[in-house]
Order: sequence, then C-alpha cells, then structure tokens
Amino acid sequence: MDGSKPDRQPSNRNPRRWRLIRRTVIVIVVLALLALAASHLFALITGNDTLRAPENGVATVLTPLQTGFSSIVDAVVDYLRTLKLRANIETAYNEIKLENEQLVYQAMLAEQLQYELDVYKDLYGEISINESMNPVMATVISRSGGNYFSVFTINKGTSDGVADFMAVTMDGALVGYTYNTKSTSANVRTIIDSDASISALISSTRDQGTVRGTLGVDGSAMCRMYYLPEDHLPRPGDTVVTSGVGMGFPKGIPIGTVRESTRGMEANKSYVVIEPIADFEHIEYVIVLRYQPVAEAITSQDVSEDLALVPLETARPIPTIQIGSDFFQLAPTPEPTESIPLETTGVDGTVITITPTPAGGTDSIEYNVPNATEENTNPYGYTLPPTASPTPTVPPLELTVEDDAD
Amino acid sequence: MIKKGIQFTVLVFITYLLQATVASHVAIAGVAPNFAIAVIAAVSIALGRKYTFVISLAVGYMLEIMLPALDYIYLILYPVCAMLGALFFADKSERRMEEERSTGKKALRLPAHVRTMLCALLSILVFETVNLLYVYLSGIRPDMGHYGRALISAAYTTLLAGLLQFPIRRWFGIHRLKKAPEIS
Repeated sequence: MDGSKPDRQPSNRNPRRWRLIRRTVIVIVVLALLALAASHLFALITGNDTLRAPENGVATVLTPLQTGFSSIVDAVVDYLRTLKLRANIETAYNEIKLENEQLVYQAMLAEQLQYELDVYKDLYGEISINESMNPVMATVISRSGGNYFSVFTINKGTSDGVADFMAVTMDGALVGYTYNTKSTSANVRTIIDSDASISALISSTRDQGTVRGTLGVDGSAMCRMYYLPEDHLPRPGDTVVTSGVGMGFPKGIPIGTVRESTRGMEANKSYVVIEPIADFEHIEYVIVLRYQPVAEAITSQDVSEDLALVPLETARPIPTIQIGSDFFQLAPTPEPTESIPLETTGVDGTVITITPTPAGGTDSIEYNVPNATEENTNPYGYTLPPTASPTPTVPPLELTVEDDAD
Repeated sequence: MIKKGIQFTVLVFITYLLQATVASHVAIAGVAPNFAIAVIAAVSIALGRKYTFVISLAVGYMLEIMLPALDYIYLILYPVCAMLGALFFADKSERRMEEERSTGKKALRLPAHVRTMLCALLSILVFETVNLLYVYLSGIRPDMGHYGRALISAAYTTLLAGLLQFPIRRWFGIHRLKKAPEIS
C-alpha cells in the first residue's frame, strides 16, 4: 500500500462509439440552436409569425423559470437592502446620538457660562454701585460641612485689603462677615451661624436690634432679631437691614425679612424671626465690602455764641414744606435730592416752596441695594391700568329657546 | 457525458438568469456587469471552444428573445465575442501544440486563470465597442461618459470572470490537474 488511489478500471465502452455519440449530440444541439437563431432572424426579417413559434416555445419555458428566479433574486436583494438600510439607520442613529451628546454638552456649557455671566454681571453691578464701599469680589474656596456652624473660606485676605469684621454680601444681601483673616484667605461667618451677632434695624420702623443666627439653636437657616423696643410690633415682610452700629458694617445692607414675631410670649423668648435673603446653599462668589468708617477728630469743644447749628446729613432726610409762614414736616423721603426747591401755587394763591433739608451728599455712606427698584415691580411683568367701572371681558351668551315644531 | 451535459445545460440557464435578473442589482456606479460574457469566458478556458460556442449561442438566443433591446445584436454578438476570446486564449489542440513543438515555435503559455480574465476582457471590449458603434450609428456622439461606462463595464466583467471561474471549474471537476497513474 503506497497510499495512492487504486487505478481506474478501463471502461468497457467503445471509445470511438462514444466519441461519435458525443459529436452527434453536439452537432444536433448546435444545429438546433442555429435553427432557432435562423428562425428568429427570418422572423425579424420577414415578419412571418409562423417562424416565431420556436421562440414562443422557448419563452414559454423560460418565463416561469425566470419569474421564480427573479422573485428569489428580488427577495435576496430586498433582504440585503434591508440590512443595508438598517446599517445606515444605525450609523445615522449613532451619528445623531453623538451629535446630540455634543449638543447637550455644548448646551450645558453654554448654560454654565450664561450662569457665570449672570453672576458676574450681578457682581459687577453690585460692585459698581457701591464703589464707595471699596468692594472686592472673592471666590468661595471651601465651606464647613457641619450642621451647627455656617462658615466658609474665601480667596481674599489681608493682601487684598480684607480685614476682620468686614461685611460680605451676595446678590445685594448680607451673607456674613469676615474673621480669622490671613494674607491670602479669610473665613466668613454667615448670619445664620449662631455665633454671628449683627446690629440691624427694621427699615420701616427704624427699630434697632441685634440679629443672630439660629443654625446652632434649632438647625434652621434663619435669624432672630433681639432687643427690639417693646412698644413696636414689626409686621411680617418688613425688611431688616444693617444699622451700621458696631463693626465696620455699612448701613442699609439687607439682611432678610420679618417672618414672624414671638412678642407677648415669655420675656426670654421675645424675638422676631428673620428669613435671610441670601441663598446660603448656592454661594460661589461673594463681595467683601472693605468699608472702613472714618472717624473725624473733634477739633474743639468750646461752646460759643457763634456756634451755628448745621443739620447733619442723614440718609433719610425729612423735607419741610413751607405754606405761607408755617412749616410742615413730611414723611421721610427715600431718595433726597439736592435739586432746586420746587415751587407751586396753593389753593389760596400762596406760593408753596418745598425745600428738602438736609440735602444728601453724593457720597452716600449707605449701602445701595442692586436692582432695588426691580424688587418692587410686578412679578407678572405688566401692570393693568385701573378701571373705574370694570366690564366683563366675556359677553354673556345669548341663549334662545326654540319651540318644538311638533 | 450525461452528467456533464446536464451540468452544462443548467449552467446555460443560470448564466441567462444571472444576466437577466441579477446583473442590474449589482451595478457599480450605474454600470452593470456582463455575467454572460464572464461565464462564457470561464467556459472557454475550462471546457473548450465547442462548449463556448454552444453556451454563447444559447445565452445569446435567450437574451435575444427575452430581452430584445437591439435586434440581432445579442444573437450574433455573444457568439462572436465568445469565439473571438476562445480563439486567442482557449486551450490549444494537441495537433496545434505538436505543430508548435515541431517547428520550434515558442508561444506564451499563461496560466488558465489569467487567460480566463484576458478572454473575458477581450470579449467585453468587443461587446462594448460594438455597442458604442451602434450608439454612434444611431446619431449619438459618444463622449467621455460613454467611454467611462464602457471601461467600468470591462473592468467589472473581467473581475467577475476572475471570480466566477473558480466555482465553474470546480463544478466541472477541472479545478486541479489530474495525476498520471504511477507505473509500478
């Protein structure tokens, strides 16, 4: 056994005979094809329909065969086309998904940038209108995670002119004050911290007191205002601002609004609950008011007859109205202006001169609240004009009753 | 012989069906390949001139009566193209080879697979040339678009013949050389 295949047995068929048969078959086939071709050509040339009989017969055989094969090919092509379509759809889906992710990222980035822009615009506005307070913007770089104290750290320190007990504001509201100031950083104790104690006053009644945080008392991010006069009752919603007494705080920084009062209760629980304006949960950038009140030295204490009383400049001057020879004082005006005295004519023909005294200086020492006028605007963005006789907007429906024709 | 005859008959029908149904679906740049010429070229090298003539005439006849795009063209052109390709690239007869040996003539002997592709290329070039000539005689001046389509068709059909020759040769059992019986 050499592994090779066994030799074929020699065929007992006559090779010459088979060759003859094969040639005969080939000749017949060729002749048949030539005959078919000839009949087709003659049919085309002569237009004789009788000569089309062979090709009609071939077409009869081929038509169902071709129909079946064509349907198979169409099915295969449709399947392949479906696969291609799916692949295209998947590719398009992936591209759209990727594009969507990029757009979402860009939208998030744009939103973040818009937010930062708004923050910077607010900070810039707040800084620009309080330039006399020598403000500086600071970034919060860390904050305490405790439940009883609310302090954070900013990236400005003594090298930037920041000192202890300077007011820290955000969005036009008091956040706290600096302490433990270092060269490049400072800690800020917020007004909701229990250790914070700030002199304040209620803007409507000008009642002064002390605001303290309640975070360490009851865990709430609120403030309480103590030591208010007992004969005045603050109303809920009244704004509480800094009084400028003690520390280096400017006067008039909004702290919060009166939420409720516990007057009439026990003496040691007599306080007013203040809801802070500042959002202590989202403090990222703050403004440190490097305001330092300048104390003027008294040059002389001699009292002489030449001493003239000069009205002090107050932030809320009281204008005086002169009617004839009588003087009347009006309620404090929020924005005193040093303009030309107004003159008007009364009912009896007398000249009425309105002279705001004393005049407020341009360098106001009171904190200017940014967007203060916008806070009092209608939240809906429009104001309806008052109507003397309101009319219904929807006309009454005219109902008619038809009698049944029957 | 009967088996081969049946295989050949089936191949004829398959060739026609491929050309009639599949070719339009596999067009590249809008140009469909010529399955018939590709298969005929493979048959020319694998089975010889007689089979080439039969299959080209049969396929040409069927295309002529079933897809009569142009009168007489398919019926005449396919056998002409096939026989022209077979004339140059089909296996030579023993008598011809003996004649070359005796006269000392050295002819270029290319591999069968390469000759199949060259046969298909020659056939399709003749086919496309005749078609362009017919277009020109119809009053249309062929431009670069026509020539480009003709070249793409030639390249596509040649490539197709190079691919189809393998299953055809394997089906007919001529994909490998037969070993001579050993003499013990």
